[in-house]
Amino acid sequence: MECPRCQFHNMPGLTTCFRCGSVLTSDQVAIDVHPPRALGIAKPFRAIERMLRRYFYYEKIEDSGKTMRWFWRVSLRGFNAGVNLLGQSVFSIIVSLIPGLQQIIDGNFHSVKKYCITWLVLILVGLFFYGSNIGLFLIGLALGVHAWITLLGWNAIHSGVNVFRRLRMVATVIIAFGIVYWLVGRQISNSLPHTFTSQDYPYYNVHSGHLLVGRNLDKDDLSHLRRGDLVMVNASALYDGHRGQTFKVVGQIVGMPGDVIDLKKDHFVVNGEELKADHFPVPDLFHGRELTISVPSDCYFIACDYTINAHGATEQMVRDVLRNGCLFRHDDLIARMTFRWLPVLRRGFLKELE
Amino acid sequence: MSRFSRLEFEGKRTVSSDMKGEPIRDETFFYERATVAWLAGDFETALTNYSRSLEKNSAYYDSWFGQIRMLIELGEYREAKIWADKALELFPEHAELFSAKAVACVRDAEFDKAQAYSDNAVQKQRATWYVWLARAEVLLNRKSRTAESCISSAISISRDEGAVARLEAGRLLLQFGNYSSALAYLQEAFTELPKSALVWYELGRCQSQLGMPATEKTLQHCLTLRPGWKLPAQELSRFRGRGLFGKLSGLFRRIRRH
Repeated sequence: MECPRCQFHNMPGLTTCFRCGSVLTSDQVAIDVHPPRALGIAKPFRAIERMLRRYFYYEKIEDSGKTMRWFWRVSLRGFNAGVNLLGQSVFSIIVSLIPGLQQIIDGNFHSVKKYCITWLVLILVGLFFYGSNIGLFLIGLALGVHAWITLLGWNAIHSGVNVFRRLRMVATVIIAFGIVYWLVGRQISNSLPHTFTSQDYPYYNVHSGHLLVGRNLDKDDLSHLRRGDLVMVNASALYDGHRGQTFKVVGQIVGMPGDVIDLKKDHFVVNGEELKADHFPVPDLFHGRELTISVPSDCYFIACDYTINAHGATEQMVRDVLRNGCLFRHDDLIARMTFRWLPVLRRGFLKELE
Repeated sequence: MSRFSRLEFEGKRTVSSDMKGEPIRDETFFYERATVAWLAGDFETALTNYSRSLEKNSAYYDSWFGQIRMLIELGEYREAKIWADKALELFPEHAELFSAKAVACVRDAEFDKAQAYSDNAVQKQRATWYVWLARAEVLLNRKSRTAESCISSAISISRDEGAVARLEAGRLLLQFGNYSSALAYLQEAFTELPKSALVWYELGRCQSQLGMPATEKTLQHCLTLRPGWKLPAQELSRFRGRGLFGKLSGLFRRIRRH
């Protein structure tokens, strides 16, 4: 039989050319002759990877990156190291952030369908219990399932790569996804401010340990705030060690700008009018003390559980802290709390103060 | 047998006295169509025709090699590497396939792998002009001065495929900014392949880089050969719209050439 490549006359029965090794006979059905094609969307990502590889190659051979700013050099190195560690393309890594998308693109979603459903159920139930230990546990499980789906999509589990490489990939994926989940959680936290209360508010049926969710306040328009509203404030100025940070606490607006507040017999008296104790509970630190505080025009008097370490402090020092610490400027107001998220059985909107 | 010996343009297939009527649509027919499409710069059509050629005969090596080259031309380097591996299963130890893989690697900025594949390819027997041109591309990326000798070797052993080898050499040198040598090779290729839009386009690009007044004529002729091709139209508008700096840099390159 004559070889189509080199025209060598082979012995009958040979499947490959004796001289050049080319295939002499082939099964027309078995061989797929249509090459794989790249997705158009993947090309820009590949170009970025190529650019990185080219940069590091030329940097290695002639140190051409000397003029590049250190920030970009460090960023490029970090990015390149991450991509190398995972051994996947940038496109695959980005696509894997949505569980199952890689498999949808590859056309074998059915292979991970049950994992994707499990992930969805875990994430939904985890979000339902968000803020509790159960919620944290379920979201952690969802993260694990997500990582598993990703590794399946990359053929990293059943492929022939050695065990250390597989372990490294698993660890990297879990850490990377952990960071992504944390960033998503932080984004949610910023758009839906929430925190646990440390004081009881009997009128609202809110007790210590409840998780309240609020709406961010427009600092330029606080006209809708009323006396008695529960708000989240940044109390970092009150606590040493938290200066410069955002230290969120829930408190109740007792004094509006311009009010005069008297504390008498464990009751608040605002502009000469005594407020009901169950509507406006007095924090523990105020108990047994009598004070008169004038609220400046750019401040609100907010009562919350001030856990000040007053050990060794004189009475005058405590009074000074209370007098100044309970006054919050407009900038320190973060959100108005409107919803009780936890406990689950009491989940619902807070009622308005009459 | 030369890979391009039966090449024809504009569908004017010579019909011998004993072969009349519809041409036989065998692997060679689609292979020729693919080659014509490639020389017209239509890489997507060329790839389709190479595949159709392999549908007729999956043992037709030239079409496998053509597919890999078209994938490289289309910028799909990973797919080209996968396909080269597949072709190597059918045609083991073929130097050209290793070279094609080296080219895919070097264009995908995997320089060390490219070097390894190229080393492997040149050690094989019957190294073709493509093997040496691929070697030259790898070496040019490493900024090695021996690349030019590889190109000379490629041209010297190209024989029947000299025009295509010169075209590829010209394209390679053009890619690396060696415009004067690229122009010489492209002009040689042009004399043998005057109906190839790709040759005209590459020649026009080269002339454009050198700021030569003939650029407009070349690119316009390219557009008449393949109307509606965006690349020469873009190059033409870029040439027309170049500023003072563009004109001066072209002039400078021309002076260096002499």
